[in-house]
Amino acid sequence: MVSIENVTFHYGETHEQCLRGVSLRVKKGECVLLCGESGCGKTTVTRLVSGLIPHFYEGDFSGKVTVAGRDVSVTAPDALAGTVGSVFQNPRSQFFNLDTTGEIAFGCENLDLPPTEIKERVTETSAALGIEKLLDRDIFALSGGEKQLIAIASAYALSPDIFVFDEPSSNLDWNACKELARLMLRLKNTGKTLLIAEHRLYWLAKLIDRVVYIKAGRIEREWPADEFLALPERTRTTLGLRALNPDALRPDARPPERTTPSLRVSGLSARYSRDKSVLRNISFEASPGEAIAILGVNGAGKTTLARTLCGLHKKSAGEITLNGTALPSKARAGPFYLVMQESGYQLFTDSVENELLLSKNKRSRPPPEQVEEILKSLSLADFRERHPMSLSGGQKQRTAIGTAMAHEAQILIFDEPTSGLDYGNMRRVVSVIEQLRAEGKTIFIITHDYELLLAACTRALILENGAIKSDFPLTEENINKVKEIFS
Amino acid sequence: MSAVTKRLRIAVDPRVKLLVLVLINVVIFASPDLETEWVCMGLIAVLLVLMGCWRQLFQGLIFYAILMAAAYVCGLADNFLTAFIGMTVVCFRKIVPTVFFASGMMATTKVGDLVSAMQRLRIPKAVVIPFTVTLRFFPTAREEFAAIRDAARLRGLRFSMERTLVPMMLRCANIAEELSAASVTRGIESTNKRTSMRELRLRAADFGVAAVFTALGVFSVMGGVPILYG
Repeated sequence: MVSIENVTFHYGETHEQCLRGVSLRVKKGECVLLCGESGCGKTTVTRLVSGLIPHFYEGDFSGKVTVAGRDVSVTAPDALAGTVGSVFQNPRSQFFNLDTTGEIAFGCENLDLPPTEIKERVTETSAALGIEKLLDRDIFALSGGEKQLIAIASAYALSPDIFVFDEPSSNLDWNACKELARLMLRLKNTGKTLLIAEHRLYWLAKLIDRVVYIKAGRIEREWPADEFLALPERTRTTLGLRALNPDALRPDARPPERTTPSLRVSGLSARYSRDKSVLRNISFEASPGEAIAILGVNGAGKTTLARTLCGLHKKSAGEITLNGTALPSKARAGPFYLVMQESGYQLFTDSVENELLLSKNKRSRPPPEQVEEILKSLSLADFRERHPMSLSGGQKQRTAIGTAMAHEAQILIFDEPTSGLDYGNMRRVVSVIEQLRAEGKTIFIITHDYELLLAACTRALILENGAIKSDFPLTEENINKVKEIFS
Repeated sequence: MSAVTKRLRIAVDPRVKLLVLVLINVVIFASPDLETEWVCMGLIAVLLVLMGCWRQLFQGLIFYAILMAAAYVCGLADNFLTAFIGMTVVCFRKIVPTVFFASGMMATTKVGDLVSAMQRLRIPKAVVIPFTVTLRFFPTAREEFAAIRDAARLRGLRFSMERTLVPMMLRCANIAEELSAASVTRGIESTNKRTSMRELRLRAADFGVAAVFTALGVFSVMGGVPILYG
């Protein structure tokens, strides 16, 4: 169905990511997983199959790619649209319409199908994928997971034989992954061919037939699925791959030796509109050196709790006390800091160094020695002159953390710090968090990454319907309480 | 009141709405006299009632009345300044009928239907697709702006154009690139003309509305209300 023969590719401007002599054959109805570290070239392979290379991303291309008997390099992308369906990483940037039904019909409309047939296809698609309840909705009001389902549906409506996924789970929570896997299994059962590039692996276990491991632009190893899933832990971590079997993971973060609470939250409530309360009577204490996971299903109030702590959202009742002083919301920006999921939003200047120096006024500007020290400790010293927007995701994130350290934030809240990160980068986040804990910061982490949770957190706070359901240390004995959330 | 108006309420075809919008402009530019403008406002008001846009109706009428009053007051005094202000007010008043109808039109039209209407009018793909994507960018820009504002607040930074617009443009450029890649895989570069799933049908009411406003357009091109005086 897909045949890639000895392909070598460099992107036009940068030479960072490339493929060197890649050959791969995928049979009809097969499901192949492409894995490897960030920047290894797995996304580039998906672009070969969707025809985006060489038609959209230009560069030096040699070799031959054939999809369903057609030579991709001489087939126009719109002629390929009915053969290969693509689903991308970011659910926010792959739809064109404001409503879901219009979006599913979008491809068919482009290819000039008659209206009655488009209607039939939309009905058929939603029935086949079991997403009838998502029809006629405002896309901007959907969750990330639901947006991904619509992206699959709009590719499915063109009835392609091959589906190509580029890190489809990056922005999704545990439940959304399960939903996505269920849908992909349906595709496979109807005889579609699936090619998936992905970091998070556990959710694909039941789906894949074969695994291809790419390193620095070459196909380094290949396994049948059962052999791959049986790889020993040691091999997996040396290959830089994320967990295959979550059950094998154990809590790994040591709690601080002494706990002397510095943060006290009592009776905290918050609401969005007058009658819709999102947080109800939240009370807890936290000590320096703790790393507390905030867990709960979508809509449990995790994000609102984080935003309220940082002063971005107004509380309707309760008190937040730091070192014995009650702080109103305005005074919390500073001692409290939120590291956003897309930390690119948080960078405002033209270099990493200036970013750390940027302050609200001259008096609060950190001394140069301190900036120097922070740059070193976050391995950012070599990038001090670089424009923040030219950094990788992990580097941007560390720069954002650096600004919080430079301004002596005491409470750092991380919102999904490892979404879309490979094993090596995830470990890096863990070690930065350890370093912050050692410096006496209190850490909160909102995450759906089970591997990060066990590696970095010492305590878990579970929210349900805006209230604290349970609050316990993250130890071997308590691990089942956490698993409930993740299943 | 509401029971009666519900029964009378009509759904106007988006193509007819576009036509009415054009005709209102014709009326305003063709006849400068106040009476024709009133006739036009009256007809729009009736149409908005039929479309069920009460809020837009009251807002528009109140705004129009205020501008009428302001122009009248300016006309009382006789000096350069009031004449100048009066001119400005009249210019604004001239735009009111268009905005008046457009607000009701946007409140009752789905974006998909509007796009589909444009396609039925054989407006080329090169206009329709950018129009679709532009509409999609408004909510995106709002989300991006909110995120950047939050990030600035977290660091106690005040709003500044440079700090807000530069990151926002960089991010929007990113989204635009990802969006184009996705659109290529959905066949956007196809040279076919492009169809629409939504089928629009003209009903008796549509012809009625079109006829009334066309008549008004012709009437005002011929000279408007003054021709009735001979």
